[in-house]
Amino acid sequence: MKGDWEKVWEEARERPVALVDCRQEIPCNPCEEACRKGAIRVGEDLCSAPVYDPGRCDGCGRCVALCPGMAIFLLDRRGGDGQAEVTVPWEMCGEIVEGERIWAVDGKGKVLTEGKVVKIKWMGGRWPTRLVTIRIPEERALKVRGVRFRENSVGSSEEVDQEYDLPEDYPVCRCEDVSREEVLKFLKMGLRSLTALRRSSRVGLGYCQGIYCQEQLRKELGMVTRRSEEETGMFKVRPPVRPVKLGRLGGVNG
Amino acid sequence: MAEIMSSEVVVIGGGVIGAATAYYLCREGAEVMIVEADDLASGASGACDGFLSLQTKALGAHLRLAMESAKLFPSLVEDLEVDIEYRPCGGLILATSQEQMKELRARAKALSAEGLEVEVLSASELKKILPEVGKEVKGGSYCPLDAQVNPISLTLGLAHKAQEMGATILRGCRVENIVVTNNRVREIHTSAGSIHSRRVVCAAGIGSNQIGKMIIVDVPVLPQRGQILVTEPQEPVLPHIVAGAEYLGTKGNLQALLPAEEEAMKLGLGFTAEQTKSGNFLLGSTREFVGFDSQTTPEAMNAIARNALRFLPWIKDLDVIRSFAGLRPCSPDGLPILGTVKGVKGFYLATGHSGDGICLAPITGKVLSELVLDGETSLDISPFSLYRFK
Amino acid sequence: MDTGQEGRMRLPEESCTLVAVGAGPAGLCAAREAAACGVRTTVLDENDKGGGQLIKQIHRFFGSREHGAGKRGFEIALELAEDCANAGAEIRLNHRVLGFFEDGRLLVEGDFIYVLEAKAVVLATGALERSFPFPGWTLPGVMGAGAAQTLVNVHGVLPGKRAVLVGSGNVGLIVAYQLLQAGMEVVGILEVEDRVGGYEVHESRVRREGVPIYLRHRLLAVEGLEGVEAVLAKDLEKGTVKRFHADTLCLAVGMIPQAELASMRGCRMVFVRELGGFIPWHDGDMRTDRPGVYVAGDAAGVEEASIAMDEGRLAGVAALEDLGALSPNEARKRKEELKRRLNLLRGGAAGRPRAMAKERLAAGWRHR
Ligand SMILES: Cc1cc2nc3c(=O)[nH]c(=O)nc-3n(C[C@H](O)[C@H](O)[C@H](O)COP(=O)(O)OP(=O)(O)OC[C@H]3O[C@@H](n4cnc5c(N)ncnc54)[C@H](O)[C@@H]3O)c2cc1C
Ligand SMILES: Cc1cc2nc3c(=O)[nH]c(=O)nc-3n(C[C@H](O)[C@H](O)[C@H](O)COP(=O)(O)OP(=O)(O)OC[C@H]3O[C@@H](n4cnc5c(N)ncnc54)[C@H](O)[C@@H]3O)c2cc1C
Ligand code: SF4
Ligand code: SF4
Repeated sequence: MKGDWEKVWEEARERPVALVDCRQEIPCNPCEEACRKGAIRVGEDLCSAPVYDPGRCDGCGRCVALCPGMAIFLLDRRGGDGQAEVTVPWEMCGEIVEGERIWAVDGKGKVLTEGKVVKIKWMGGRWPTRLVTIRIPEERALKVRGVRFRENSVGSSEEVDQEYDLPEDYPVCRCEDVSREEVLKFLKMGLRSLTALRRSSRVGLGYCQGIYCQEQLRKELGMVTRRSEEETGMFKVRPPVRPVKLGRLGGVNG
Repeated sequence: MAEIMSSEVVVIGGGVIGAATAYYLCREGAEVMIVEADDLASGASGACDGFLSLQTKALGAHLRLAMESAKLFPSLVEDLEVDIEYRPCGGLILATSQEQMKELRARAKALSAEGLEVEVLSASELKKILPEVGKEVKGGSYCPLDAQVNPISLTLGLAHKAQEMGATILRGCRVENIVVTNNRVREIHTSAGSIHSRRVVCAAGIGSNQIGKMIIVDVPVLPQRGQILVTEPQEPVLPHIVAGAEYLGTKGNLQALLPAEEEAMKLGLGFTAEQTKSGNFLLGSTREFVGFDSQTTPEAMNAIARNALRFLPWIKDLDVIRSFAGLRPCSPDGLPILGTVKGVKGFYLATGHSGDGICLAPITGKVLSELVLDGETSLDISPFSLYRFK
Repeated sequence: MDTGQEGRMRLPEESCTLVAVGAGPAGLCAAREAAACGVRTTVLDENDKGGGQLIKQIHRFFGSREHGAGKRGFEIALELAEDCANAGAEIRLNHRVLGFFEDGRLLVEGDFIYVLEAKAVVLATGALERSFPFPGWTLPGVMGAGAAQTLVNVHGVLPGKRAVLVGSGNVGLIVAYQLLQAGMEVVGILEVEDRVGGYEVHESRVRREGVPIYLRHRLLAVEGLEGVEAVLAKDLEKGTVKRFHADTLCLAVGMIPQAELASMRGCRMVFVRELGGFIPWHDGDMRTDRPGVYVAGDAAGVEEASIAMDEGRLAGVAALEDLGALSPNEARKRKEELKRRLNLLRGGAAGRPRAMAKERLAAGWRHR
């Protein structure tokens, strides 16, 4: 991989070239489809990582726009002035204009340097992607994976007391407002089948038809009976699987 | 090898009847084991309405049994730890034609003669207790003693209390054979092993016929499917349990009250409505003989909804969130089968409650416990003998 | 309301040859195969748009050319629906299937209630977002990541100003990104495990926007009176509790196959953890154990849109074969090609456990 990037680095002196940063097994090949120069190959095995030959790339940028992983970038060092132009795909909805200053970040979101937007180009089908080109000091260029306006991340949190008490009176079934305590009460009475537990605790008898709470009930029951999910089974499904107005069902007000 | 168990009395079936029988037996200090193939209230008792309706019972012994049962509910409310959602709300039967009104009037008279207070209401009188009914409704009859209960909680409450008093509940345990020697029940073979016991109560609902076969007795109980629609919960708006006169017709096979439509006849359609404590409307129901198939069907769902709107048109915008069907343990005449069988000592029947098992559960449990422990009952149960058929 | 005359209307009945339930990628592709073969085909979907999950996806999709890869989700949805309609299938939107009965009939609510009977039914009902209870989970502002996505991408409404996401799988990462695109702040993504669940490329794109991913952090509770005010999480490394100020909590903790209809129909259901939970058992051609019932897409195991498409096509071909509309030879050829593609799609580290689970199913016994 390092070797590849050295080649990219070299080629980028002559013309803009793609930098493909996709190493995982993803069932995906639009990069290959996009490239008319045959510079990117995924091959028959869809999940293999793309094999890229910078020598064949002419820097058209199609793959940058089409890669669903937003994992391809362009590097251009033609200026030879210690500055490089890096192009990244930009999918944010907000405004971005040439001349603006923006932060260049690496793949982890760490700010590398400040840069200037020098070009914006729409590319990639009926619903295109903006390719944003920034100018930054050359030595950071290989690491750039994105740009953003905000320097710091939003994330902030505060530590809470160790002694923090969790509230305990929350429902496991929101439709019928049944707490876990109530479920445990029925389990303590000895109920051992999912159906009986549902009928008595009312968990899963509500509007959502048990879509959400079923798993929870199965878990609680499984813990007591030491039976697997499959053995514990599912709620018996009865029509209608979606609520329907009585008038509709009766064919009255159609 | 599975262990060998023993018990003074074995009750087959953890439905409302089995649970009530176990409860009353335990109150008398008996040692009881409930053997349930699936789980408590997994049969009809967990898939039914909660009508405790007296005015729908057949005249005579059936009505007397129900009236005795009704008297026991308040004590259960006191004694059971589970809230059985008992509500002495009174019940209405609605007529949609003058002929039906005539019939209701005649029934009211007959019921009153047997000591059950029933009031006939004209359309305008009806308005005072149930403000909005369909245009077709011509009036109805009202029985203040009719009430409502949550059948699942009732079953659970009875079984749980029995358990507290020492009963054992074997869940997921199916009775496979009953060993009779010298004309006496000795042993019960189950999927979880054998139980030594000299007394067995069959409260197996629609499984009763199968149980009967084990001791070579024909117990004529057939599954009769009843389908019900459940709506989303609402504020309490339905003050009483409500049925249509055709419900009486299909239930008691009363010619004059049978539904007119062919489709409705085929389904055994009869309108029932109750609002549960959780606020849901339960709308019923059908009476179909389709074997052990407990699916709900598009035709019945459509027909029940349509039929319900004839009586309560204002619920048309409620969402139906579920349907279910239960299999009533149906006897040929719709009355329960209670008592001993000839030639097999220690075997007792408590089954065939058809569409009335919830209502009749307490009294069934009480008389069965008397029968099992004392050999005689405080109430004459001979009208419910197995041998009344043929 | 007059319940008189029309109240007596009988339940209308209709029939057709193949029905696909669900107009997501799986259903549309199954239906397209069938319709293109001249079979009378109907697609039912409760949504007002075709495309299933794809209609709310504004990002470009993985896959290869057959799956519309490199295009945006909604664009693929439009194309699949168009293809399907062009092939001659009837797509009925706003039609909800309420029941699938053991006798094979479907109960449908469209403009009115009716019964639909078909020789072949492909269940392609997709998956539902998983949820779990915790203190505060019923507060407004707590929602599934997919629900948040529907709000921003379909309805153009922001669920709030500052969001915390739970789960760093692909869905969590993508939805976090889309919330940013829509103009929300994403305070962070919580992940219980010690590594990110989704692809590196997706991880990287949210990190580039400055979104921190908190590994080994367990969601504890949501605080707030009328809505979400803060999210509490436990740092499992340090044992401390952190409070994040946010007004929205999006759960991206997996999807559950939505296979209720199959279960109602009486299909054998099996629990397959790798595929998201209970799914109808199916063979390598997407047949369930009930004759004439097929399953495809997320309803047959939660995977990806590209897989849903090819599974849909496979189910369509199997149905055509069973209907006698395709020669066994032709069917075999098409199935082989589709299975080859499916194998490729499941070829990566993320796909292999799913591929193995599917193989186990196909090898598994067919009857109870
Ligand atoms: C739709 C509908 C509405 C109804 N509405 C009302 C109403 O409003 N009011 C009313 O009073 N009644 C009503 N009923 C009738 C009432 O539900 C029944 O009469 C009553 O539940 C019967 O109770 P049970 O205990 O005899 O039977 P079940 O509840 O069916 O119990 C029998 C039990 O025996 C078990 N069993 C069977 N075979 C075996 C075996 N071999 N080994 C071990 N266990 C076995 C079964 O698993 C089952 O749990 C309604 C019924 C239906 C279907
Ligand atoms: C946030 C997110 C991001 C994703 N990103 C990707 C990605 O990048 N790449 C990728 O390959 N995959 C992605 N996926 C997964 C992909 O969307 C699904 O795998 C795919 O949509 C599954 O297709 P499907 O046809 O099985 O189901 P769905 O697309 O879910 O369609 C099911 C359809 O069935 C309908 N339906 C369900 N029940 C009924 C009923 N009873 N009556 C009528 N209609 C009914 C629903 O309305 C729905 O339209 C993503 C998913 C999510 C949630
Ligand atoms: S930039 Fe153009 S030529 Fe270069 S790899 Fe991408 S698609 Fe091919
Ligand atoms: S298109 Fe992008 S994500 Fe897909 S294989 Fe190529 S480089 Fe990787």
